[in-house]
Amino acid sequence: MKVKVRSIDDRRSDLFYTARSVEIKPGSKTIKTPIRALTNGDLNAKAGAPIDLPLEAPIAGIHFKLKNKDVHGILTKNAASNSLINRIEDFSQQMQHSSVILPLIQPPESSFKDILAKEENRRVFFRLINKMQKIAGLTNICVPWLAFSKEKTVQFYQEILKNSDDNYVFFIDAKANPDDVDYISNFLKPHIETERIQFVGILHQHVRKALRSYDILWEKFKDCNVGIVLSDIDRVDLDNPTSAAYVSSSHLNEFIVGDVFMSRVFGGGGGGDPSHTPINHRLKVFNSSELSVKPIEKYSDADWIQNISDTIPDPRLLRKLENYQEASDDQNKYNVLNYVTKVHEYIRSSDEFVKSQDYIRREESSEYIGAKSALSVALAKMRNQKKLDSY
Amino acid sequence: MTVKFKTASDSTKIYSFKEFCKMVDQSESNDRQKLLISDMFLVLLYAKRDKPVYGRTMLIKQLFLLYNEVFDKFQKIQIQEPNFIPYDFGPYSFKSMKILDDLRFSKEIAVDGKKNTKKESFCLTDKGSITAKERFDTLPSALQEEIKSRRIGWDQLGTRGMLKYVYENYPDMKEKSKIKGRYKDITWGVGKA
Repeated sequence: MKVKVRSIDDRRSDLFYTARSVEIKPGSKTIKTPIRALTNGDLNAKAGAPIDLPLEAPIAGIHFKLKNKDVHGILTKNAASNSLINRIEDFSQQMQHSSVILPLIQPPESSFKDILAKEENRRVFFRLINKMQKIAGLTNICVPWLAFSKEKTVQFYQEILKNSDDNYVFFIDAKANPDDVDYISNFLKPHIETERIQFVGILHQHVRKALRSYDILWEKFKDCNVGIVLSDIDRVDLDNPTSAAYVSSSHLNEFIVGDVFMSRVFGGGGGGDPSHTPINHRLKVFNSSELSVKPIEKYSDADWIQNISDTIPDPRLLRKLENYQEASDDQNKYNVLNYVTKVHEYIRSSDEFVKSQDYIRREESSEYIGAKSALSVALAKMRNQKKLDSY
Repeated sequence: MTVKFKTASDSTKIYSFKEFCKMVDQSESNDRQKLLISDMFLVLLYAKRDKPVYGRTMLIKQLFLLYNEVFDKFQKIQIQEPNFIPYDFGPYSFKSMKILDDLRFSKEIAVDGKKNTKKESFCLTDKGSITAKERFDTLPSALQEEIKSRRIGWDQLGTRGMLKYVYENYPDMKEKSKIKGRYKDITWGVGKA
């Protein structure tokens, strides 16, 4: 596997937005970035809808966001490990048409004060998930963020690199102390330069909560031949003053830091209880002309339904969409519609990432940003500007 | 193409050898291309020849969709009837499964992994690839592309998604399924619940 930086677009002014494009060569094919990875969440949506359309996906990501009880199970029960290995194998099979599969098996933050409070338990946990990934046949192995001190983290990573030739993807939590992010990045850099490391993972946080960390990560890695995997990304960036724009978090972060974007995977489709909120507000749809993910109440029925059926032309699907009101108090129907919008988002969002590659390569990202209203509003707000005209 | 001949007094048509060959060629080109069930297995696997199909259930459902949703659009190709019936996990064809065993016996398809699990894999052997290529190359290029694309779409569904897709779109094939309770019928267009 080879990773090479193709272009960096911060020439006009790196004070305002930052974007880059790298080339990943897992074999004879070349994968250009920025790119959206196909996740197990996307595949669950495809199966749940169900939609048999092929999803173009040079890179796929298996993301298991563990709960405390899962971590407990891994540490105490053989059956839990076996079950996780089976799940990894199943998704690997479904992702077999992708050239690269990147895993992330991340314990919850709360576990570091609970079952993973002791360093020894964290090491055992890693030892087990390391073996599970190998048994499942993965060629890229994740090293999750285990919230050690910066010194211990580096010591831990050093030990892994020293004792194995496997391809590891080391994850850093974006909301970690910026000084820790800086320290750990400095350790990783020489290993990237010698091509020992091809991917670095970042656990996503909303931009405003991790601005300094993102800034450090950009500065450290912008000219490095490494694929930066931004993972666990929210569908929409609602946690900041630009929420009115409903900007897609993946597309916003494309101009902050990252090469490969893995959206958050929810259990059960992320549907929740339908009775509390009207369906027009709960059901959201991706709009590629704005790069937003807005509730369908923001559009006429004809518009959002057309948007989806243009992408997935299937009369059986159209019937579901036209009768969407039936899902107001029917969880099963709501789940189906939610899955459909997620498959639609995967297809259209992936297309948008491909389109943006050309702009970034020509160092004309500003032109692309200017044409996408939700994105330009969000980036302008980050600059405390009301208008976009200075892009 | 005009074929020249002489007519005898009893109306028998007499052709030269060259003209006769022309006529046979013409007749063959008018015939519908014929594909056997074994050919369908081979082209399905050849479409993504370095990627196996995982699981017997998945393989037979892919054959079912290949027959019902892909080849049905290409009227010029005549397919041996697999005789799918509703069975334990949805559409099933005893004839096709027997042919699959024959392909394995003749070393054209390799089967690996634990039988009757999602880990059981089906792929072409080198010998099978040669036969499969011959069959695949005779198909119209649009059909070749369609099969390649569908293979990806079906593999990505996984067994659960594949069964959901088949049960939803072919409800008559679900009726005898042992696991139909796991796949709820959802009817759209009936008004709010």
